[in-house]
Amino acid sequence: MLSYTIRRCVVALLLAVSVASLVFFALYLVPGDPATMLLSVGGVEPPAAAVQALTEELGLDRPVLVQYLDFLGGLVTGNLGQSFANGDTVWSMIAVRLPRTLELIALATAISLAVGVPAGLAAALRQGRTVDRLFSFTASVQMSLPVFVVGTAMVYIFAQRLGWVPAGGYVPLAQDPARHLVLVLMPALAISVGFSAIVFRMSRATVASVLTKDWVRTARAKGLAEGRVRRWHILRNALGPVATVVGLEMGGLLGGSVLVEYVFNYPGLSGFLVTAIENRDYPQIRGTVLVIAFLFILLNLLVDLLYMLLDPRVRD
Amino acid sequence: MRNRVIGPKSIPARVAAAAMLALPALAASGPVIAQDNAVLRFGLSAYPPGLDPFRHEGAAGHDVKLQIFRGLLGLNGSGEIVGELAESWEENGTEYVFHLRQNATFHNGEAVTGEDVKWSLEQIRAEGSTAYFKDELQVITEVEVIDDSTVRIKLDAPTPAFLKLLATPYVPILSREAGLEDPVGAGPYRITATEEGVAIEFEAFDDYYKEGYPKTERMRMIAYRDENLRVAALEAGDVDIIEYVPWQSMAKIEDDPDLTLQETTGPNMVLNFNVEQPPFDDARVRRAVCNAINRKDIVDAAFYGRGAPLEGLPLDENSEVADDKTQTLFGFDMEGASAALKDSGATGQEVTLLSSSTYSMHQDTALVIQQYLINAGLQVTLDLPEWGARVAQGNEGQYQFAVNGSGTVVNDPDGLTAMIGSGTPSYKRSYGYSNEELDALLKKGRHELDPEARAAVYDEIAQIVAEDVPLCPLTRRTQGFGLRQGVEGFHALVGSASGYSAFGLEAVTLD
Repeated sequence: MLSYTIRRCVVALLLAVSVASLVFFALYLVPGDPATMLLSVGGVEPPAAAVQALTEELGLDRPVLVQYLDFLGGLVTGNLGQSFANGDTVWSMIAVRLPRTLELIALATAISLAVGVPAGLAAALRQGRTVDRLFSFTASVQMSLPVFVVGTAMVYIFAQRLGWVPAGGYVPLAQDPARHLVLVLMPALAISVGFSAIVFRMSRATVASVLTKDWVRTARAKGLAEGRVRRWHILRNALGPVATVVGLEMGGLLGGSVLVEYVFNYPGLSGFLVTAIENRDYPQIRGTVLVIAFLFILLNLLVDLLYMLLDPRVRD
Repeated sequence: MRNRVIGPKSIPARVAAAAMLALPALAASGPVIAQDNAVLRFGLSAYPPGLDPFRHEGAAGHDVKLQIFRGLLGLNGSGEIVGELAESWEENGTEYVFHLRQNATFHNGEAVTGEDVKWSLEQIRAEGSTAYFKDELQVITEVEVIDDSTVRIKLDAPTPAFLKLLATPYVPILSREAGLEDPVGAGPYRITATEEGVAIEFEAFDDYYKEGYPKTERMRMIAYRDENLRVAALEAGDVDIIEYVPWQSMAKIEDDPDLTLQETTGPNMVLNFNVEQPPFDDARVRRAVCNAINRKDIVDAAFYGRGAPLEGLPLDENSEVADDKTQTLFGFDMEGASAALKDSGATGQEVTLLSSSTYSMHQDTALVIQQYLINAGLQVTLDLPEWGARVAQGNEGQYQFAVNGSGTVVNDPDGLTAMIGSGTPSYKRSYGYSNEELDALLKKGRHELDPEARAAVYDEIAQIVAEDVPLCPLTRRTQGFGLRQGVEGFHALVGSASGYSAFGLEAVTLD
């Protein structure tokens, strides 16, 4: 198991570097010059001399291959470079954003699991009955609601109409814990609307298929308590595919929660990446994509390891 | 009064119920969204990409930098030039003498001296500088420090726009001692904390040179990139002032008894042409296009009626040379335009209009123009790339004609040089356009000190623009600030100064 884990980790690292290299070269195919973009914020023309000076300052006048080697060299020493926009190191900027995004994703996942798995189990055990139909119908509605619609409606109702919460934003935990929690809970709930429905559908389907297995009948026949059968025989066997789906969803949220971040003005990693792309801030884009790719791969690795814990057969 | 945006029914009952259970528990404690009167909260349209004292870094950059840095001159609530670090000044053709305030100190406690002024201006003009005004300030030939509080600046030619340039956020005076690595200014506030991408906290600078200012002890600038959320934050009481009120929300804010809208005219919209390619290498075609568009429809469709048609030189509404001769050059005349297109052989030709899908005002403007030009006999297709790509296409001349937002940097007609004068290719200019007669007049206007003679020069320029159409003016759009009731002392500035309104935040009081 250890060698398997190490092998997977090495592959993960190589994958992340390949993704970053791909992004590196793709950026040069996208029209738009970083120096011009940086100096012409707000759609006003920068003087040509200033653009030239900045191009040299940023090292963009060097051959692409030299820039690429520079980038790889930086990677080896753990240096992601400096942002074109403000000269801060890319790593320090990501380090500020990443925990916020991870917190948001963790909270959204926790809510979705807490709602989706029990609901899925309940529906599967009562297939075709009213509860099942009601839950399945609700889940379909939830899945078809775009997150920006849910988010906008939440801001409108809870912030503008009822005045219970601020209209989005972010406050560090240390500064005001209650406000911090409210501000991260709003986008987390918006994400969970669709996410919990996915978890529900997956749980329902896998539990339903496990229920038809012979050993479930055997377990019941030998007189095990129903609660024990559900927890140890049904749920544990059904959770594998759910873990896979949750892992993929979480990975997708790393760079894909941009809409919800916009609606709630939540300063996470996705919005940061979009801004970097708009500004053609190459080091920032590369660094962020690299980190997201790495985390995505890591998440999948964790899911695989979790699989092993859930299902001893995979370990061999 | 508020309009309904999205009905509450569109939320799944389950989430609503869950949220209703969870949120009151957290919000009930009260202070969570209570308003703190000692703090002025300003809703930025973006988190500033950087705080380089000399670079152009967008509206949000100005808002922040004007609090921590100040230059020799500034603008008051009416947009007039007033002394900042300079208490008074004398001008004599090409020579300016500035007398610095005796009590002006930098945030590090040092006095502001003539040496700091000289050093700061040198940094902007230096070889390899990325300062926004690097080119503009090349007109300076010498900065002479007469004594600690007196500086003489000599120019190579009379330049009526010179003082206006100094009264922008682009020419701050910094401590020479502190240097550029960690620049120190003399503004009304200093930054006490920043939360990257979120907010910047300010505290009044005790030794600020204006007695009794800033009026509010603390300030917090919070970035709301989404324009609708910025409005929602104002309505919910999260902020006291917001900039860039989206046009679709202006009526709503006007109707809300708890809010005030300060609306002024801002930048302009124009059409640029690639004059190196047919059909727009022909001035007759450019003129026909410019007369075929009913500008009122652009104002209504792209700006929700917030603005006015622009039929002359793209200058500020209150420009010293804005008169009938410079402001009425084109008008809507569909029959004349169709006939002119026919005469020039352009009728039926396929042309592509470049705009951008990033900004709805650019896209909507292009849609209106497309309809009118189809009626006039041109076959127009739209090219709507993302903004960065659109700028690159503009700079490289990969377009036939293009929608552009345009404004002068300061309220001075010399700003036209950047739009219609010859120069390096730029998306702000019609590609390949060059007119020697126009260049000569623009140069004359730049250095003419006598107001009447100067106005006459721009009248002549207007005549050439009407004939040769280096660009086609479209509309004047408005710019809005939203304020909560009880916010006093803020004045949105007009035209090109609109983006510098943050000069006045030091005078804002909350009740």
